[in-house]
Amino acid sequence: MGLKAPGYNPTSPLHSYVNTLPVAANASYPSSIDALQHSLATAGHHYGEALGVHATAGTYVLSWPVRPSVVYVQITILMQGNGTITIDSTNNGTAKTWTTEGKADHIEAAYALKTSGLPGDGATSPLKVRSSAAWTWTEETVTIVLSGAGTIHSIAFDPVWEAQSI
Amino acid sequence: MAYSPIDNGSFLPGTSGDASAWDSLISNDGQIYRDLVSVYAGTLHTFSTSATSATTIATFALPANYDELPFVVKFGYALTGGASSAIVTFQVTDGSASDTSTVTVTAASGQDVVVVTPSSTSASSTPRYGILKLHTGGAGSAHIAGFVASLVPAAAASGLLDSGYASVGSTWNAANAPIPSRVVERLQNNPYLIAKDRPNMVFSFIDQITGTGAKGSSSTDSTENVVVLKPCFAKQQHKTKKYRMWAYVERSSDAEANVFITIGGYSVYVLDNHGIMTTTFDASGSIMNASPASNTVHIRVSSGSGFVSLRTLQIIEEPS
Repeated sequence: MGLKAPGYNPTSPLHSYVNTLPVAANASYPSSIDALQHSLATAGHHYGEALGVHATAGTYVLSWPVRPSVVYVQITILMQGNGTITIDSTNNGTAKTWTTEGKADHIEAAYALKTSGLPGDGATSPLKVRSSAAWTWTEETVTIVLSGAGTIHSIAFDPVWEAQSI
Repeated sequence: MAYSPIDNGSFLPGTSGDASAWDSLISNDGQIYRDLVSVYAGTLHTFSTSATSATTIATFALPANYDELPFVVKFGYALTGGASSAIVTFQVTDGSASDTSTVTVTAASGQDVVVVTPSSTSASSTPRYGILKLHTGGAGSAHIAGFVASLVPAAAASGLLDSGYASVGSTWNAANAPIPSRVVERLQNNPYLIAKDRPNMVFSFIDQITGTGAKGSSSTDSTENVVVLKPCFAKQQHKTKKYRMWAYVERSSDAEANVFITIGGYSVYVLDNHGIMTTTFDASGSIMNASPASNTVHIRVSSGSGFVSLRTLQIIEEPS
């Protein structure tokens, strides 16, 4: 047993492989199929997604589907104007907080706030969405709190794909 | 049980046709079909009504799913003003037939789900779409505070499915026999067939449909392009892929809309219409992953008079 890295082979759109004859038992077949399956279950099919919003001061709750093997998710927020944003999850020891001042309150002046993509539980680390790695799907409640006069326009969730134990 | 990664060391040269490695692959093939979620839409917005009959509050695309697996909407809710219940209706339609399910919630607040299993509707190259309706059981107001629409995976039915997927049996692995080509072909194609039938959203903006001509957060009566939203995107694969833009525009009077998106300097638009407006486009990761602050969504009145309101904007993977 060891670590297995995420599979980045794109699994869509459709590619077709056709074998027309019975084939000798060769290790290349199971290993290539395994690579495809691993890609589909991990990074080859599940890129992140983003939500567009017009979120003003308040509390917003989302149930985010956590992919197999994913523990952390990188957050990008597109923000207009000033405010304090806190984003937290059930399994996260450190909430992510940004406070901005001096920003123009105009949609064309929207700017990005983001966590790093480096796993860890620091203030700038990606959001932890699962206590430890597992090869199953789960859901995580993510809470976003905005105070101040600013507006959130988009929030992107990028799974951080790490090699995990098998 | 779930998908279980296989130690690559188990694939040795001369892997026999009856080797356990094949059984592991067959098992994972079935488990991935059973487990793989597709996320279609989501929103953080609050949708409210005091109506006492089913009132449409949101609509969103539900692409593919030729295998007719259930669709689910998971939502947060709250009851205010003395409301004792709220009724949430989830209707899936292909434009002619509909499948509908309803759930009644009675707590002051919480989370719940409403599930629709398609039976009357059919998948096609044009996405089906979901319509979410809400009303109270009497007095007060009902509120939905954000929701996520996704697929409920389940074990594959037997035989060749409409998605093209077929389960692989394990009875073929006779000792020392060559591996049947149909088994190799199946196991190689199945991951792509599953992926093709379960596209994911890349971006989702859903605002409340008012049905009353009221403006919303993304409305304009201008005939000049107005920036109504600044989208950012999660990182996408660098390979060029086809995506679908699916928009729903409400209007007053006889106004028609142009919806125009700029993604990393690349433009996508749907023109001079209202209601569902959709198109497909090709983009690579270098376009989708470009500076998020440069992305914009514009809308304008293209003809007629009144105002137009962008209620839904989804960007979804498009099977091709």
